[in-house]
Amino acid sequence: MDPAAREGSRADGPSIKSVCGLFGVYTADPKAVYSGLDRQNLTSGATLPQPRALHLGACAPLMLLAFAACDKEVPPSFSVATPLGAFAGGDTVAAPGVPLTADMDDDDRDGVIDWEQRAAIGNDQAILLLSVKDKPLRLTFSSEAGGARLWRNGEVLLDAEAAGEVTVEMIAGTREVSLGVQLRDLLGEATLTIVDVDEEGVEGEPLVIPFRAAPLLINHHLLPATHLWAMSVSSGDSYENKSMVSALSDALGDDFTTIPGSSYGYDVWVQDELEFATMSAPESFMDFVIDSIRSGGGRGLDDVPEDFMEDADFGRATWGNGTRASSQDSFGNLECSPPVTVDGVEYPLGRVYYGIGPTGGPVKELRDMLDAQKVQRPFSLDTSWLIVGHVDEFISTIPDPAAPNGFWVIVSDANVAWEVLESLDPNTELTRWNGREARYEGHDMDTVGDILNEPGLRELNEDISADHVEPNLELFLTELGLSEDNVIRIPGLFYEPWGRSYGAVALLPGMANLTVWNPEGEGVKLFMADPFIRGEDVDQSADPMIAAVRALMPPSVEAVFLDDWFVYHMGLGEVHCGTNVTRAPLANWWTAGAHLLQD
Amino acid sequence: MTQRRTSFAARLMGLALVLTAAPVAFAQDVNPGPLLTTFETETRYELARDELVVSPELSVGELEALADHADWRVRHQAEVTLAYRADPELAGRITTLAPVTTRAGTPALSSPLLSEEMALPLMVDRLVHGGESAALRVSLARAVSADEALLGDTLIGLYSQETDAEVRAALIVGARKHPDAAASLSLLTQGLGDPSARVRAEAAAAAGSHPQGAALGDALIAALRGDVDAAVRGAAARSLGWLRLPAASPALTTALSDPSADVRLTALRALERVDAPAARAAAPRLQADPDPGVARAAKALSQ
Repeated sequence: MDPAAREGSRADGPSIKSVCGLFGVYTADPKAVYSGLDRQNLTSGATLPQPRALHLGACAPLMLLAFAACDKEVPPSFSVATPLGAFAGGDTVAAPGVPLTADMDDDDRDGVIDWEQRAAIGNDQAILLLSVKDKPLRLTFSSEAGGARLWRNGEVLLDAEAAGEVTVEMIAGTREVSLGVQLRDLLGEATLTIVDVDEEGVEGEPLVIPFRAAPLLINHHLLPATHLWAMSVSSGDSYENKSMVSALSDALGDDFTTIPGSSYGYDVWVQDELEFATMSAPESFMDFVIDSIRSGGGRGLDDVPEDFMEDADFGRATWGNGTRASSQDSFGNLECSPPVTVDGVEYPLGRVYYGIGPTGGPVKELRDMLDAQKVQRPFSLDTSWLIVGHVDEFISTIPDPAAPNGFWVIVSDANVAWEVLESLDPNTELTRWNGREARYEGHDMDTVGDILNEPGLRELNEDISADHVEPNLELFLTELGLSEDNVIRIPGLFYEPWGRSYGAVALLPGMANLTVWNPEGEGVKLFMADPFIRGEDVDQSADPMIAAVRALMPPSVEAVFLDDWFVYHMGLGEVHCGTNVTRAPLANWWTAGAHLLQD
Repeated sequence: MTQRRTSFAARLMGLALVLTAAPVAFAQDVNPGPLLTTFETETRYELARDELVVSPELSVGELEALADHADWRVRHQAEVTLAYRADPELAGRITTLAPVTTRAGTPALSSPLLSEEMALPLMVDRLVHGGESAALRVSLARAVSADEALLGDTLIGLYSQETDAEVRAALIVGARKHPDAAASLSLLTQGLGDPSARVRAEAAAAAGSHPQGAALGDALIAALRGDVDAAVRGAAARSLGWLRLPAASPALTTALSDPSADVRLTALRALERVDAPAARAAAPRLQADPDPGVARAAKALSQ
């Protein structure tokens, strides 16, 4: 726990003062106080488990010692156990306050977001255990932006749903009261002030407890993978991805779910429809899916978040309006770097990045939301030179404990591609590249020599490298405080199958457009597009491009090459575009990222 | 694919043997009128096509003869009719093949069925008569023009009768590598004079990767000097550089002061390829260019 967040906390250890303050009521260990809470059963009217109490007889020597040590200090008339520890009047709860998750999920699985139901459902409230002694207390609950409720035993005690401040007088009497704070919005805020008031109306020292809802954290590639999603396609006319789905299923088993293509319009771009993120707090965790505006009205993958993901501890929301969607609103164009330090500023949760295309970037509402989260301060790259226009088409990151920062930047590089191709027999046949269907997307190349001698291809890639890939890489490294030492360049060639006006896309199946699979306690697998630089369609061991890429990868990762040719590569995407991964958070935003929340 | 082609040819041959014992026909001896009439049918085309398929008026032998006719429209309609007579089920599947959505959000046809030899005339048929969406027609135009089996005059015929500039541009993009270099060069020449800037720009860009693109050098220089559209000037500059035409050096040098940043950048890149000393001489001034891309390129060139 960050010492700053625990300032004044009674949970720091069994100090004499804290024992005095909590005398006879709580242990000094907030974990012990909270260990009996069943988060899933915290529904309306449910009885909260009581905190553990110290047995008076067993604690008598400790009590005597405490009284002696307290000297003339007056014991506080109340105390509050929170997820951050125990506090009393006069204590300070440091920023960002008590963390909780905005109640944006559907813990009772009734199809209605919990906040909207105005019922104490699920596990997203911050639970406080208030111990009242002999003086009346005054509770004041406020929220500048609104969207906050203070609950007591399943009822709304104070409602700050609208912006403002509300107060309630509580009758004195030794007892314990369970309170719950619920917030509506990402990074929502509320403040609970508790003060005792004696018979003459004299107020004691107040306890001011700020509450802060979690930011929405976009997943990055160092976070442990928990589940992978892809669409299964078998349309009847041999438009199918059985090979890729089968390979993923073999590798992942139960950690892999297929979305049936026939039910979702064969919209195979699972990466583009969904952005997985998380919200977390000491006592709650929520997977979250940002539902893209790229498809609406039930078209394509539009309903997948509702059908597969919206659930208990799985939130969903859309920012923006689909009528203004551009390709940059797809989430292959929204990624997050691993943790970095930039000019002395630590970003332990990484930094979000997205591409700006010819008509702009992601929709303003989404960019504003991402900016507002603060802890993953976004930056943009230029993707206007690409037909599709997504950042995943040329740059990515992969985990490697041996890397300088624990990860490598992977970038598509034409020179590396030429180097490999020029080392080959130009008569090497390219079975997969020379079919009529391939020709329709400009892959009418029968041999390696045909690629090497394709008119204008070298010049195009020289221009793209000089004017787009390298400037973007330089910007990427600068924004992340990295250098060329952090980069692995892998083979990549672009071309313009639709003409100059549309821009470029990967000619050589885009291997930088990869999916990282790194579940907790297991090795790292990189799912990449099979380049098919070989005559033999099946035998990957005969593919010199695959061998070259494997040689470039660090020993800690296993590169797995998937056949994405017809459904994805021909459709202007690759493995990453057709898959999506949920991940588990590592760093706590309220401790490691607290400095980034300060204005 | 070879196997598929053999199979299709065998089917055709078998059908011909069964249906006709007629002597070999020659195109000039067969009346192409019914085919032209069908091709020109604008409303209820499918009905006219289906009637032709079952009509006894033209035998398979006669249709095969007309598939070599000088008029591309006659050839096309003969191939479509033959396809439906040979395998109506397969022809129907190709004709009604549903598009998939590319990652760019555009429709495209993607199926191994497109490797069937009959796929080309049927896709041309969808382009000409199919009533498809504008976006799918662009995709179809790109696909058929990239098919080496499409004859050059068909390509030019499709371009000439097309009213949608996006489709014309797509035909030009697909045709830049057409095996009939003379036809594709002719198409690019027409494209450079197209009333649509969108088409002119693609023609100018395609010239840069055309095996005989140097033949369009004067037209490209003229486009760089005089076209009102910056995209056309930028494409022309890039192609002049890719083709490494020394005669373009003065025009490229002038284009370094073009109001469009894209033109200035492509002109600098082109000049670097065409006349490196001239590019290096201009680079110091361009380091102060208001466009960061131009300034960056100039700085790199100066180092």
